[in-house]
Amino acid sequence: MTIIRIISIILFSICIAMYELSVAPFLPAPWNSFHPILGVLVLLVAIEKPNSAFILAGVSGFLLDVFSTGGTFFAVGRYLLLTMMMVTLNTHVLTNRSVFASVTLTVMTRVVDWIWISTATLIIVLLFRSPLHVPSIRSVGKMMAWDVAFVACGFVFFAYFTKRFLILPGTRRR
Amino acid sequence: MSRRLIVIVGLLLSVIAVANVTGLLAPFEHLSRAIMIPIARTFASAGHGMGSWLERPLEIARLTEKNADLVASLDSTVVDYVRLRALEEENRSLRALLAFEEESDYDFVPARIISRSSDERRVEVLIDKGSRDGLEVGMAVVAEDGLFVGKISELQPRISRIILVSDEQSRIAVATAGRGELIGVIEGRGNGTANVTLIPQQVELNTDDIIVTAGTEEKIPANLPIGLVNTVDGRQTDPFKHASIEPLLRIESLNLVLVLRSTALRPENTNQ
Repeated sequence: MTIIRIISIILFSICIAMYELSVAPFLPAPWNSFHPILGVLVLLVAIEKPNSAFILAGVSGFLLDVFSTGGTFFAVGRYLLLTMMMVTLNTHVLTNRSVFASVTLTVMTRVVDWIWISTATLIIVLLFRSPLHVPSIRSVGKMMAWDVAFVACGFVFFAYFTKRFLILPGTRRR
Repeated sequence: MSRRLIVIVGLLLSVIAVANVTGLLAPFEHLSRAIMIPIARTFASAGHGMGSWLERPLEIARLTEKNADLVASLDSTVVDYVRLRALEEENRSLRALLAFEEESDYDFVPARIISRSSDERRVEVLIDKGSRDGLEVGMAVVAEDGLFVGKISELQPRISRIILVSDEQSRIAVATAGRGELIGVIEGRGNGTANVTLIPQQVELNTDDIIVTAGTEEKIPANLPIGLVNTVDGRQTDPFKHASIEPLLRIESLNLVLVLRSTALRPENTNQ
């Protein structure tokens, strides 16, 4: 991995973290439910760029922790662990590279992300009697719908332009 | 995934977690905020621009409906207006007679909203001013047109978190405009609405009365407008009644705010 590539990924991570923090909250519904970090992580894992995914998870998670208005619950750790989970699943379980595998990964990741936040919130509520809220299923559902659309379109575009996952007669798929 | 990568990520996570808990990350976080705030401002401006562009079709429909209501209520308002003008004239001449000098003990610190909660039940925003600018927890925040926005709930050197009136954790003592007496406590209900509770039965409160801050909190001055009374509920046998409030502030269009800082807390005064 070259230095230029690492810097590009860091800059890209800053941009999408800033989008999630300072652009998305100001948009009207349904646009404000589009939170692209997890979707981009899934795409990077699906196209087999795990190192880029880890950099993106670290940088964007750190920025979310630094700037968020609360409720992120150690986003840097959450994203790094989610990425680790995705890479493991991608290597050992969902070995078929397809839109369907990517969408499965997306749904699983968003659900695990929600479970993490809900568990952390419940622990805080029980320990400190703080009136925090678990994100509603409805809002998670809206985010998931955006994630699925984003990952499906992203994967199709990537596959179409790079021809990377094509199975042609007489050739072997990567 | 290679075992080496798992070990590296695991170690990295442990180091970050330990640094986070022990506060070792704090200087790095402050530095990141200092570097990133101009970028956050730019993104927030872009977000506001995009938001108002995307909301334009909805806004047109809403404005058409509101216009019809306004036209209907204009006739009755004209009568009130004439009466108010007469009172204003009277007020002006009385002030002149008493050589009234209005002195404010507050500075207005302008700040830009750089982020806000995306959960509809948590109504809070992040502004780009903090303790370095002489701000303190509990200070009142108003919009450009003077409407009460909320109060500072958390402070960092360069940023502050503002809890808005409609947040479920917000509690502010309120009065009705013009009467000045404390009538109850306004409690947020999330999704942009609020209730005034603990209103004694003997207090007269009507639909469309203007609710303002009572000024009982040290850092929140009196008479900052909050909203209009929508409905008043409660049985005669209850010791208290409650009212639902329609906040005057439109959170969606909120971009710049003003923090009311006591003049004694100006950075140049505190450095002396």
